Amino acid sequence: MYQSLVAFCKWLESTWWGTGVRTSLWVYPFIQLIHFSGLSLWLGTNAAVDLRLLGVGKKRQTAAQLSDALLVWNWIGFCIVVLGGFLLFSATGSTYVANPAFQVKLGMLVPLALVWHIVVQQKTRTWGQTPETPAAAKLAGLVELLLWISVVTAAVEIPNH
Amino acid sequence: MRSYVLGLLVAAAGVFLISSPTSAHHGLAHYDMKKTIALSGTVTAFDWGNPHCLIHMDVMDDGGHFQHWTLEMSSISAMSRRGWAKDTLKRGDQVIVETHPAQNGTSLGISSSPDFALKLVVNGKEIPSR
Repeated sequence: MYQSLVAFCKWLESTWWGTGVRTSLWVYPFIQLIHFSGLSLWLGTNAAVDLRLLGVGKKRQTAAQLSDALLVWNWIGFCIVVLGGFLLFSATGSTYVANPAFQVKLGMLVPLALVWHIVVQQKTRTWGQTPETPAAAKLAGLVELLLWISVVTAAVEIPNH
Repeated sequence: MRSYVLGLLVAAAGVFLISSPTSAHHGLAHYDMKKTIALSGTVTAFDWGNPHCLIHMDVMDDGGHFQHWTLEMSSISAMSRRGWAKDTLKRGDQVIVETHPAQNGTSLGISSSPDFALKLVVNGKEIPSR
Protein backbone atom coordinates (compact mmCIF):
# COMPACT_ATOMS: atom_id res chain seq x y z
CA MET A 1 0.00 0.00 0.00
CA TYR A 2 2.77 2.40 0.98
CA GLN A 3 4.83 1.36 -2.04
CA SER A 4 1.97 2.05 -4.45
CA LEU A 5 1.45 5.42 -2.78
CA VAL A 6 5.13 6.26 -3.37
CA ALA A 7 4.79 5.05 -6.98
CA PHE A 8 1.79 7.35 -7.42
CA CYS A 9 3.80 10.26 -5.95
CA LYS A 10 6.71 9.53 -8.30
CA TRP A 11 4.27 9.61 -11.20
CA LEU A 12 2.86 12.95 -9.98
CA GLU A 13 6.42 14.30 -9.77
CA SER A 14 7.02 13.28 -13.38
CA THR A 15 3.93 15.05 -14.75
CA TRP A 16 4.39 18.37 -16.51
CA TRP A 17 2.78 20.27 -13.64
CA GLY A 18 4.77 18.43 -10.95
CA THR A 19 8.04 18.99 -12.78
CA GLY A 20 7.06 22.57 -13.55
CA VAL A 21 6.33 23.49 -9.94
CA ARG A 22 9.47 21.73 -8.68
CA THR A 23 11.93 23.25 -11.14
CA SER A 24 10.53 26.75 -11.54
CA LEU A 25 11.96 29.95 -10.14
CA TRP A 26 8.73 31.81 -9.43
CA VAL A 27 5.85 29.32 -9.90
CA TYR A 28 6.65 27.55 -6.63
CA PRO A 29 6.31 30.62 -4.37
CA PHE A 30 3.22 31.62 -6.38
CA ILE A 31 1.62 28.21 -5.73
CA GLN A 32 2.51 28.60 -2.05
CA LEU A 33 0.70 31.94 -2.19
CA ILE A 34 -2.37 30.24 -3.68
CA HIS A 35 -2.27 27.55 -0.98
CA PHE A 36 -1.98 30.09 1.83
CA SER A 37 -4.61 32.44 0.34
CA GLY A 38 -7.11 29.60 -0.01
CA LEU A 39 -6.21 28.54 3.51
CA SER A 40 -6.95 32.02 4.81
CA LEU A 41 -10.38 32.06 3.16
CA TRP A 42 -11.20 28.51 4.28
CA LEU A 43 -9.94 28.86 7.86
CA GLY A 44 -11.17 32.44 8.17
CA THR A 45 -14.75 31.50 7.33
CA ASN A 46 -14.51 28.37 9.51
CA ALA A 47 -13.23 30.42 12.44
CA ALA A 48 -15.93 33.08 11.98
CA VAL A 49 -18.72 30.50 12.35
CA ASP A 50 -16.92 28.68 15.18
CA LEU A 51 -16.52 31.96 17.07
CA ARG A 52 -20.17 32.80 16.44
CA LEU A 53 -21.13 29.39 17.87
CA LEU A 54 -19.08 30.36 20.91
CA GLY A 55 -21.14 33.55 21.18
CA VAL A 56 -18.99 36.21 19.47
CA GLY A 57 -21.11 38.85 17.69
CA LYS A 58 -24.43 37.34 18.69
CA LYS A 59 -26.29 40.66 18.38
CA ARG A 60 -25.47 40.94 14.67
CA GLN A 61 -26.89 37.70 13.32
CA THR A 62 -27.55 34.09 14.30
CA ALA A 63 -24.94 31.38 13.70
CA ALA A 64 -27.24 29.84 11.08
CA GLN A 65 -27.44 33.14 9.17
CA LEU A 66 -23.67 33.66 9.32
CA SER A 67 -22.92 30.09 8.29
CA ASP A 68 -25.36 30.36 5.38
CA ALA A 69 -23.89 33.68 4.22
CA LEU A 70 -20.34 32.32 4.33
CA LEU A 71 -21.09 28.85 2.93
CA VAL A 72 -20.11 29.58 -0.68
CA TRP A 73 -16.92 31.45 0.31
CA ASN A 74 -16.08 28.69 2.76
CA TRP A 75 -16.09 26.02 0.04
CA ILE A 76 -14.46 28.27 -2.55
CA GLY A 77 -11.63 28.66 -0.04
CA PHE A 78 -11.52 24.90 0.36
CA CYS A 79 -11.21 24.37 -3.41
CA ILE A 80 -8.36 26.92 -3.62
CA VAL A 81 -6.43 25.46 -0.68
CA VAL A 82 -6.80 21.92 -2.08
CA LEU A 83 -5.72 23.04 -5.56
CA GLY A 84 -2.62 24.78 -4.17
CA GLY A 85 -1.87 21.85 -1.86
CA PHE A 86 -2.24 19.34 -4.67
CA LEU A 87 0.21 21.28 -6.86
CA LEU A 88 2.76 21.60 -4.03
CA PHE A 89 2.33 17.89 -3.33
CA SER A 90 2.83 17.08 -7.02
CA ALA A 91 6.28 18.69 -6.94
CA THR A 92 7.78 16.42 -4.25
CA GLY A 93 5.01 14.13 -2.98
CA SER A 94 7.31 11.17 -2.29
CA THR A 95 9.24 13.14 0.33
CA TYR A 96 5.99 14.42 1.88
CA VAL A 97 4.45 10.98 2.40
CA ALA A 98 7.60 9.96 4.31
CA ASN A 99 7.44 13.08 6.48
CA PRO A 100 5.94 12.38 9.96
CA ALA A 101 4.45 15.89 10.29
CA PHE A 102 2.80 15.55 6.87
CA GLN A 103 1.51 12.07 7.76
CA VAL A 104 -0.09 13.41 10.93
CA LYS A 105 -1.48 16.40 9.06
CA LEU A 106 -3.00 14.73 6.00
CA GLY A 107 -3.42 11.19 7.31
CA MET A 108 -5.17 12.07 10.54
CA LEU A 109 -5.83 15.72 11.40
CA VAL A 110 -7.22 16.97 8.07
CA PRO A 111 -9.75 14.08 7.64
CA LEU A 112 -10.80 14.47 11.27
CA ALA A 113 -11.15 18.27 11.08
CA LEU A 114 -12.92 18.05 7.73
CA VAL A 115 -15.50 15.53 8.93
CA TRP A 116 -15.99 17.59 12.10
CA HIS A 117 -16.43 20.74 10.02
CA ILE A 118 -19.07 19.15 7.77
CA VAL A 119 -21.02 17.85 10.76
CA VAL A 120 -20.82 21.22 12.55
CA GLN A 121 -21.88 23.03 9.36
CA GLN A 122 -24.95 20.77 9.07
CA LYS A 123 -25.80 21.05 12.76
CA THR A 124 -25.44 24.84 12.78
CA ARG A 125 -28.68 25.04 10.75
CA THR A 126 -30.55 23.78 13.81
CA TRP A 127 -28.20 24.90 16.59
CA GLY A 128 -27.87 28.40 15.21
CA GLN A 129 -31.53 29.46 15.02
CA THR A 130 -31.44 31.50 18.21
CA PRO A 131 -28.97 34.23 19.29
CA GLU A 132 -27.84 32.09 22.23
CA THR A 133 -26.37 28.79 21.01
CA PRO A 134 -26.71 25.57 23.03
CA ALA A 135 -23.75 24.27 25.06
CA ALA A 136 -23.17 21.45 22.56
CA ALA A 137 -22.76 24.04 19.78
CA LYS A 138 -20.23 26.02 21.81
CA LEU A 139 -18.22 22.89 22.50
CA ALA A 140 -18.40 21.83 18.83
CA GLY A 141 -17.19 25.26 17.70
CA LEU A 142 -14.31 25.24 20.18
CA VAL A 143 -13.26 21.72 19.15
CA GLU A 144 -13.30 22.71 15.47
CA LEU A 145 -11.10 25.74 16.17
CA LEU A 146 -8.63 23.54 18.06
CA LEU A 147 -8.65 20.94 15.28
CA TRP A 148 -7.71 23.50 12.61
CA ILE A 149 -5.03 24.99 14.85
CA SER A 150 -3.64 21.45 15.13
CA VAL A 151 -3.70 21.06 11.34
CA VAL A 152 -1.80 24.32 10.83
CA THR A 153 0.69 23.41 13.58
CA ALA A 154 1.41 20.08 11.88
CA ALA A 155 1.80 21.90 8.55
CA VAL A 156 4.27 24.38 10.03
CA GLU A 157 6.28 21.43 11.41
CA ILE A 158 6.68 19.77 7.97
CA PRO A 159 9.98 21.52 7.09
CA ASN A 160 11.43 20.53 10.50
CA HIS A 161 11.18 16.78 9.84
CA MET B 1 -25.57 6.82 7.52
CA ARG B 2 -23.33 9.41 5.98
CA SER B 3 -21.50 10.01 9.27
CA TYR B 4 -20.70 6.28 9.45
CA VAL B 5 -19.07 6.49 6.01
CA LEU B 6 -17.07 9.51 7.13
CA GLY B 7 -16.07 7.69 10.32
CA LEU B 8 -14.81 4.78 8.25
CA LEU B 9 -12.76 7.17 6.13
CA VAL B 10 -11.11 8.60 9.23
CA ALA B 11 -10.41 5.09 10.54
CA ALA B 12 -8.87 4.12 7.19
CA ALA B 13 -6.69 7.22 7.24
CA GLY B 14 -5.57 6.32 10.76
CA VAL B 15 -4.61 2.79 9.68
CA PHE B 16 -2.60 4.21 6.76
CA LEU B 17 -0.82 6.54 9.15
CA ILE B 18 0.22 3.74 11.49
CA SER B 19 1.22 1.32 8.75
CA SER B 20 3.39 3.56 6.60
CA PRO B 21 7.08 2.87 7.19
CA THR B 22 8.72 6.18 7.99
CA SER B 23 12.18 4.66 7.70
CA ALA B 24 11.76 4.24 3.95
CA HIS B 25 13.01 7.75 3.37
CA HIS B 26 15.98 9.66 4.68
CA GLY B 27 14.11 12.93 5.05
CA LEU B 28 14.20 13.33 8.84
CA ALA B 29 16.46 16.23 9.07
CA HIS B 30 17.22 17.42 12.40
CA TYR B 31 20.66 18.64 11.56
CA ASP B 32 23.40 19.31 14.07
CA MET B 33 23.77 23.02 13.42
CA LYS B 34 26.62 23.34 15.93
CA LYS B 35 28.75 20.89 13.99
CA THR B 36 30.31 21.66 10.61
CA ILE B 37 32.22 19.07 8.62
CA ALA B 38 34.00 19.37 5.27
CA LEU B 39 33.39 16.77 2.57
CA SER B 40 35.55 16.25 -0.49
CA GLY B 41 34.26 14.22 -3.40
CA THR B 42 32.56 13.98 -6.78
CA VAL B 43 29.11 15.29 -7.64
CA THR B 44 26.87 12.48 -8.89
CA ALA B 45 23.81 14.68 -9.42
CA PHE B 46 22.53 18.14 -8.69
CA ASP B 47 18.76 18.53 -8.24
CA TRP B 48 17.71 22.07 -9.06
CA GLY B 49 14.34 21.86 -7.35
CA ASN B 50 11.79 23.13 -4.87
CA PRO B 51 11.40 23.19 -1.94
CA HIS B 52 15.14 22.36 -1.73
CA CYS B 53 17.96 21.94 -4.17
CA LEU B 54 19.97 18.78 -3.43
CA ILE B 55 23.62 17.94 -4.05
CA HIS B 56 24.30 14.21 -4.40
CA MET B 57 27.97 13.30 -4.10
CA ASP B 58 30.34 10.40 -3.55
CA VAL B 59 32.93 10.86 -0.81
CA MET B 60 35.89 8.52 -0.39
CA ASP B 61 36.42 7.60 3.25
CA ASP B 62 39.75 6.74 4.90
CA GLY B 63 39.32 3.06 4.09
CA GLY B 64 38.97 3.77 0.37
CA HIS B 65 35.23 3.14 0.31
CA PHE B 66 32.78 5.47 -1.35
CA GLN B 67 30.06 6.91 0.81
CA HIS B 68 27.10 8.59 -0.85
CA TRP B 69 26.07 11.93 0.64
CA THR B 70 22.99 14.07 0.02
CA LEU B 71 23.24 17.73 0.91
CA GLU B 72 20.18 19.91 1.28
CA MET B 73 20.41 23.45 -0.09
CA SER B 74 17.84 26.28 -0.28
CA SER B 75 14.90 26.72 -2.62
CA ILE B 76 15.48 27.74 -6.23
CA SER B 77 14.57 31.37 -5.52
CA ALA B 78 16.96 31.62 -2.56
CA MET B 79 19.76 29.93 -4.52
CA SER B 80 19.11 32.18 -7.54
CA ARG B 81 19.52 35.26 -5.39
CA ARG B 82 22.97 33.94 -4.48
CA GLY B 83 23.86 33.66 -8.14
CA TRP B 84 23.25 29.95 -8.58
CA ALA B 85 21.72 28.33 -11.65
CA LYS B 86 20.81 24.75 -12.51
CA ASP B 87 24.20 24.24 -14.18
CA THR B 88 26.28 25.64 -11.29
CA LEU B 89 27.02 22.03 -10.34
CA LYS B 90 27.29 19.16 -12.79
CA ARG B 91 27.83 15.43 -12.51
CA GLY B 92 31.57 14.79 -12.25
CA ASP B 93 32.45 18.12 -10.64
CA GLN B 94 35.05 17.85 -7.89
CA VAL B 95 33.78 19.63 -4.81
CA ILE B 96 34.88 20.47 -1.31
CA VAL B 97 31.81 21.42 0.67
CA GLU B 98 31.05 22.21 4.27
CA THR B 99 27.87 20.87 5.79
CA HIS B 100 25.96 20.53 9.05
CA PRO B 101 25.47 16.75 9.31
CA ALA B 102 22.25 14.98 10.32
CA GLN B 103 22.05 14.26 14.02
CA ASN B 104 21.22 10.60 13.48
CA GLY B 105 24.54 9.92 11.78
CA THR B 106 23.19 9.23 8.27
CA SER B 107 25.18 10.68 5.36
CA LEU B 108 22.90 13.65 5.00
CA GLY B 109 23.64 17.31 5.64
CA ILE B 110 22.44 20.85 5.12
CA SER B 111 24.79 23.32 3.43
CA SER B 112 22.54 26.25 2.62
CA SER B 113 19.30 27.81 3.78
CA PRO B 114 17.79 31.27 3.34
CA ASP B 115 19.83 32.25 6.43
CA PHE B 116 23.25 30.82 5.67
CA ALA B 117 25.48 29.34 2.97
CA LEU B 118 28.48 27.21 3.89
CA LYS B 119 31.75 27.16 1.97
CA LEU B 120 31.74 25.37 -1.36
CA VAL B 121 34.68 24.89 -3.73
CA VAL B 122 33.90 23.56 -7.22
CA ASN B 123 36.80 22.27 -9.35
CA GLY B 124 39.22 24.37 -7.32
CA LYS B 125 37.16 27.55 -7.48
CA GLU B 126 35.22 28.85 -4.51
CA ILE B 127 31.61 29.82 -5.13
CA PRO B 128 31.09 33.11 -3.36
CA SER B 129 28.27 32.89 -0.82
CA ARG B 130 26.43 36.15 -1.18
